[in-house]
Amino acid sequence: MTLKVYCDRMSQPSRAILIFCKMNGIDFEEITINILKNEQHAPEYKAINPMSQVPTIVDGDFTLFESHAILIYLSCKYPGVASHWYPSDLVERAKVHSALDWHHANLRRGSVGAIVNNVLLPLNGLPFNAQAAEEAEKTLVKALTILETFWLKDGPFLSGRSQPSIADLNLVSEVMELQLLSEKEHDRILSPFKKVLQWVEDTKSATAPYFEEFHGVLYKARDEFRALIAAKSGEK
Amino acid sequence: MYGILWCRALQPRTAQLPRPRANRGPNVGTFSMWYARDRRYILLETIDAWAECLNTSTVDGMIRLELFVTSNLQLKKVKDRSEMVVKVYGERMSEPSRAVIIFCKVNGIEFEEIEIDVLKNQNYSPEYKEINPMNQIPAIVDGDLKLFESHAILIYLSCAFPQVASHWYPSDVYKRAKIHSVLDWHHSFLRRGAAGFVFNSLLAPLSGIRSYPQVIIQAEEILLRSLSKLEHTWLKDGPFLAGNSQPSIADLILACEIMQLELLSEKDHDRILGPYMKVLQWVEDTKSATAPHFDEVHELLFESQKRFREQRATKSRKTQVKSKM
Repeated sequence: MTLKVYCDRMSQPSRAILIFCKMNGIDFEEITINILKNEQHAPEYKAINPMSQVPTIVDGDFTLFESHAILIYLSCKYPGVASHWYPSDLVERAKVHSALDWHHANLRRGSVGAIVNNVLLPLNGLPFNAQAAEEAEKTLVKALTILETFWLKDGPFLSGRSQPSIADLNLVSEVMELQLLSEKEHDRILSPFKKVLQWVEDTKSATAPYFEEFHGVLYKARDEFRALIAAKSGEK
Repeated sequence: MYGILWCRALQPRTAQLPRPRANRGPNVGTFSMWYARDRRYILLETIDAWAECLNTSTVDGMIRLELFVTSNLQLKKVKDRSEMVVKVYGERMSEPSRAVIIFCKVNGIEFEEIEIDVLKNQNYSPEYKEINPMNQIPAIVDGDLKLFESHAILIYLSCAFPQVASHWYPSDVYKRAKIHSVLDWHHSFLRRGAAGFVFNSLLAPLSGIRSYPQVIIQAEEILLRSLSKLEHTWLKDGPFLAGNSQPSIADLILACEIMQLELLSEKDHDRILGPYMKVLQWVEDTKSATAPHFDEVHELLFESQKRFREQRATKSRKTQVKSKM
């Protein structure tokens, strides 16, 4: 039975899993759960994932959610997966776990906060919360600084590795979500972080052509959102 | 030199072994394994040797490698566990620090506990920054490895010390995946809610740090949602998380998180936790499974609880006296 991946290409962790499966020749069926239409709250999907989040995988009669857990499972279950994605060396593996754990409360929290406050709220006509936006940007910039000065200090990929791991795929997918910001905001926030920008390019190259293929939906949404927000501020 | 090595696979038994290759050449096999199976426990970090992997077989979940190693190189014993002591940097008021300390004690892992007092900002000292540039606790140092993030630490310790019972971090790929899943969920939900609520409603005001009512309300919402998910999803199938009959590292981490709520007033503690019977039972079960260490490591937390409740009671009596005047 083919692996089922319930996901939305607008979701950062969903993209990481899709790219990973393609890179490693894992056969799968992609089932879109449109989060902008709240399909993750439908009773049919809740029966699969009671947390109502994407992504989720169903492998035979085994269901799993949380993208880090999914990527680790796929790395271990499918023998064709190249070893650099989830190294078997205890120490190297511990560093991958450390980066994935750090990601939750740092890069992810900052990035999601920035997108919610600067893109999703204005798009839905909701009032701008300056304090929340400031907090989110502080968290995001702190996380980018730590990526630049710590995680990427020793080599092209996280923790000084010469090839990408599942942590690189997941975290780069997160940085890509910032494409949804206005061009001005995106450049203002990201341009000081040269190593981060290079690392995104290196991860893209290492996962070509699938990286760009699965980010197509994001680029399209970016262009639409930017036009909509520009139109709304034009109206004001 | 012909040698037979037994090891416990880091990957499920049905998958390929970590990278043994049939061709001769330097660094043919670079993988971590430990020499186990009722013999001396040594961690062999890497095997840099000319080695041809002649045969592999699986016996009772242990993988047996037959290696042919050239005569002028020996299988490298990089670390002898008996010479190394893990250093654990943390403090017992910190939920994840307690989990790491309890885990070491329960599994007989020799360690040195080095207190980093966060209230005194010791986590920002230059010496600690060398250990963990994130300035957070806990962190461990094991030989050359400096590691932070408690989930990563517990996974590493489970694998590096063969005496750790397998239920803490099962090698079965499905059970292990479920443990990863709950550990990941924990970050964004229970930890965010519980730590956020206790910090903003109690510890911040006590330390003179400003806290916002909206933040407290939001944290409590996340906490209550998390407790509901614990009760109805994670604990629905068995005494421990994800339907397990014995505790895993996830149970230890999350139970220590719940224990932080003991710092609240008795009224708030009972109001928040009272409806969740499975959660309360599970905390007791985790305590029993790790006795007597769980209670011992939580002594400092209970001393603080007693102090806070007495302070509240005194404040409340003063307020009552004032209002009568």
